[in-house]
Amino acid sequence: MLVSLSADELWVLATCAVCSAACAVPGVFLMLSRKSLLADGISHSALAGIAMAFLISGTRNPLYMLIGAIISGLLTSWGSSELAKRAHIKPDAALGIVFTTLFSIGVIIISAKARQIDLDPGCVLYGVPEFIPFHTSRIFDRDIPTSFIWLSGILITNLVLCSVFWKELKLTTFDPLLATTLGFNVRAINDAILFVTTATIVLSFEALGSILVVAVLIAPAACAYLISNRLLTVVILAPLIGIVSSVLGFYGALALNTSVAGMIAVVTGGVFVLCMSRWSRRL
Amino acid sequence: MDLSTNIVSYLTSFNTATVLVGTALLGFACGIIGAFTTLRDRALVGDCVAHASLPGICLAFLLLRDRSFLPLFCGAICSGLLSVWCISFIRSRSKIKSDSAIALTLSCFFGAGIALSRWIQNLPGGSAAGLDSFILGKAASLSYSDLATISFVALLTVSMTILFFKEFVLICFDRDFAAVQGYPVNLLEIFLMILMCLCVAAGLPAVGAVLVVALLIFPPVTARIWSERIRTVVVLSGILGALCCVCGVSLSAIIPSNYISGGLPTGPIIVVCAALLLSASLIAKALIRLINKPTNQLDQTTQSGDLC
Repeated sequence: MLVSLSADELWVLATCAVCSAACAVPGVFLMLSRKSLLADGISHSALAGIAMAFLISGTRNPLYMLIGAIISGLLTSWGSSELAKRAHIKPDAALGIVFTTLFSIGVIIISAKARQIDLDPGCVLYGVPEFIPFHTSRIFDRDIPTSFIWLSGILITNLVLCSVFWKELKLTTFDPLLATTLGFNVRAINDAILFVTTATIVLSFEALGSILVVAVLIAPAACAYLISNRLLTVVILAPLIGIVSSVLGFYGALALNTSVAGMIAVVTGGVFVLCMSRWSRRL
Repeated sequence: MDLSTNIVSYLTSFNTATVLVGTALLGFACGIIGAFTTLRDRALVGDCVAHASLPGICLAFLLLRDRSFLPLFCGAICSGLLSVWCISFIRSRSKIKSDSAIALTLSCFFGAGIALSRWIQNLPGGSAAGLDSFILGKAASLSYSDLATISFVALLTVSMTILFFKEFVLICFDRDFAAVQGYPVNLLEIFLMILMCLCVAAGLPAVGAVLVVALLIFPPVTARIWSERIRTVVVLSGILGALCCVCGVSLSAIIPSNYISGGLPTGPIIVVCAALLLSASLIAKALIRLINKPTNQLDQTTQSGDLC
């Protein structure tokens, strides 16, 4: 079946697979430290950062987008925790307040400047991986989609960071109090996790969009967590499950002639249901 | 078109009254239900329900080939309730925590909605043009029959809240006590979720799936700043919700449309209004506290002195 794909379709498939794998790694740590909804919040509010970056720089350079989105992502996590602490608002409500506000600001800027900004709010919301092969860069005398290059970069970065700071990540995820008493800077480690997560989310926007990226962040991690109780197994399994579900989702979308991003999210949900039916009792 | 002609045409248009009444009722109902769901730590379940309503809308459209609001509304409620059930199923049957369950359900249902709407678009003769407005909201397209549905939902929500006020307050503040007293706690909670789904589904055409949760969170949080009594919070939250909706809808209609191509979506403007209201309340409350601080301390010392 692989043979029947055109070169463009192959690039889409490869980009989606790399994207799912890159997202699954930080997803595991977010899920374990009960911050899954923060990922959802960050992916919404990144729109404000991207829109502001457009407004200030006037270009579609991914680097500016990345900086803007990371600022608004960190603002979401910091702002919601400060709001919860200072104004005695429940943490989930505070998160809801911050991300809906930033998302709205982003949509308003984009709608107001729609002519200058070649960007459609709907596009950012649910992503159009079908357009990936049209933005290419020349590397080693070959036209490679820009998205694929960035996502491969972030996948490698995630894997390297994860293996270098393995001990720190494990300790702060499972026992932040012990980590603090042992002298680790838990806050810095948490901020670093958020930083990397936001970067991964933003780079996945073109492929999967801001809401569907949450599916590839959390669902593979949740599946792996159902299957195993060992962190190492979970971290290895999650990207693999992500890759498998994105490949299945891609072929499903081809078969049904529908949105690739949407189908990938549906398939991750289906894989989760399968895992639930097989492993849910092993608490 | 400039600002003044826009205001005139806005005030004289017949549709304006429908849209204003509809969104005000919607804001009121959402504010009231939001007060309970926020207290019960279910604020972001509303977000999940809103996103999850998309596949229901698409399926209803696919089955009935009807773009009017009522069938889409029913589809939205069905898939919203299904998503709430999924969350509680995942939470009770596995070691997955509730936040992951919410995020997972939300994104998978939304993905199904996107896939379905694209599929409908690619079908021969099918067009999902009307379905797109459910994502970011288009209050100006509210029709008279939509108003009937929204009014029905608002009336139902308000009357049920009055009827079950005591029970709702009890499960929000002390669920275990309610269970000990013999109240059907689970049924009451399901009932509250059903009311929330109704409100969310009614809010979809005006505010959109991504932002309707703001109507469930902002008004109760703002009301909570000004009062600590549940009755006052609930009523004030309803009023604030209505106010935000009316302001947002009016602003999005008045802002000149040649300045903004394609017109502003209503949802984001409503959210920005609500956010401004909330930050004004926070600042005002902080100022009041600052001014009152010395006298309060004095009161406390005199009181303790009296006790001695």
